[in-house]
Amino acid sequence: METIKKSETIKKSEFKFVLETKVPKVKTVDMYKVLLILPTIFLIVGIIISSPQGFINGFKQIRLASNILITDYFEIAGIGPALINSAILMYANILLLYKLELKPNGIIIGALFLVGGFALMGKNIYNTGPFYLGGLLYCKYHNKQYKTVVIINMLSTALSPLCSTLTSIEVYPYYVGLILMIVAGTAVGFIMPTISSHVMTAHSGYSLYNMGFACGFVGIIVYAVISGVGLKPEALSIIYTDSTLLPMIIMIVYCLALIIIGYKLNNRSFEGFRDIFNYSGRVMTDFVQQVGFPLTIINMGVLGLMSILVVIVMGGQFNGPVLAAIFSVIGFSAFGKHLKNSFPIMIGVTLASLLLKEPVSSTTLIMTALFSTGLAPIAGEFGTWRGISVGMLHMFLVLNLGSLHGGMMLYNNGFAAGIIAMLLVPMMEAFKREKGLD
Amino acid sequence: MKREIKKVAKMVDEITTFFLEFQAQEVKVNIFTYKDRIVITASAKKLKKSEKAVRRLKQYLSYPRAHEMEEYYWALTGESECEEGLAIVGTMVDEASIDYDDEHIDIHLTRLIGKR
Repeated sequence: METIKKSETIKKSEFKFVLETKVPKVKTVDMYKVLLILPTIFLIVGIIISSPQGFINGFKQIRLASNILITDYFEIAGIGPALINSAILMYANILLLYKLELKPNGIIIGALFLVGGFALMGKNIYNTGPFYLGGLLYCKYHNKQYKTVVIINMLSTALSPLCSTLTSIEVYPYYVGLILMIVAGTAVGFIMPTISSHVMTAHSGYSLYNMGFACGFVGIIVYAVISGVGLKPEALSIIYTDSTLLPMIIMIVYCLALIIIGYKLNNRSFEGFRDIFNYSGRVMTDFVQQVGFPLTIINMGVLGLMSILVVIVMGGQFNGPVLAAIFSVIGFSAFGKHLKNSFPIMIGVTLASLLLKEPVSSTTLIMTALFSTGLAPIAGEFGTWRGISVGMLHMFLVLNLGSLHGGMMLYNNGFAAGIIAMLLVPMMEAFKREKGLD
Repeated sequence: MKREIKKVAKMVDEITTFFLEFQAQEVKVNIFTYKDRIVITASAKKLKKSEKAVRRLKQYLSYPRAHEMEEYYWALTGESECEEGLAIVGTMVDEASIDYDDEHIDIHLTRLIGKR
């Protein structure tokens, strides 16, 4: 009897890589340097194009806005202050992650890009702070280290319009609103770790935007309460419509930079890139661990360029909401998305848009097409045609969900993706034949 | 503490499911609880495609312990019909060792507990 091999120990503490494919090692600090590129570009460009007075006024507008979906910071504050706001939030979160000694992985990168992206349409340092306070209290209460919930805190800032709304209501004095904001944000930050992990089982990891699903339900309750006591916020759709050539150039340059850096870190080659397409993308497909950081950032750059192309082809603008959607695609390209599993979903959304009878703005359509890729694992697992069909359903559903939470939750597409995955995956599994081990 | 117990139970579920999917004829799982750690040992006999099973175990159990992923994704452990669930187990253990020949696969997982 032939023995294959005897007794092998995986020493995790040394991060010894045991896979057949050799993955170039990248130091944690170098990963963070790569992640710092985008906020640094945003900060520099933001400072160059903003006057000091424009910056002060812009930040005042950002602070005072209710941030109800959709509030484009490009429109209310200007492109410069909006870019600086995004840079500040990304810097703050990168510093926090670094101080907590967390090594960048797929979900860390995804969360970071979601925060940075939505800092162009609803998140700021002011309305996201209380969520982190809630996470700290949760850890104190359960005797955990803060690093266990920091990602959940970052993602749960989807409910930041709740904080802004509580301070922008004029029925009571401003300081009352401030206290309410801190209490509400802290409460959400405290409850989201358990809620988010609980709802995960509903969609079995087939939606990458689990926090959108979790926050959606919380948002429905919060909106019902606020509306019930007569403080219903006004529905908004503030979208920037002037030239967005500059943000487009920034994003193209950034995506190309990611591909070039990834190519260099991968021993000046794209070897192994096609292996990414073998993964369904289902939670948890962490490309940083599976194929390494260099190929992961190449994948991020490639999907970023694809997203930019989609926006150009669909005749859209690179305003705050569209950039947020591009950010989500780039970020989650480290955690499950790739060309093969994302494209069918976007085709489905585009096809569904042709059937729509009600007028939909190009920004909404493009946002939906890009954000819908949160359902990429379905196309990855069940195939292209089913991917297209869930993309179509996503388009129809997402247009009708915003009214349930009144725009108080920013990840509306994540909410829709979670519902679709929860209902359709069991149906698809019913039709899936049992596969052999081959 | 109840959640910690649930996590261990789900890890066992995932490992057991994994071996049964590879049509193991016999699976034994032991759990040892200590003050500072929990040790799970599992042994499976006569798997079909045992080479592939070993490759998958190496692939997913080599995930570094990641507390932030564990807190967010632990509920999915044991819920999936795919091997990705084993990756979550990987993020929940500090040490993993695999002993195998063409008849048996033994795995030994150590999960450190307490505030860390």
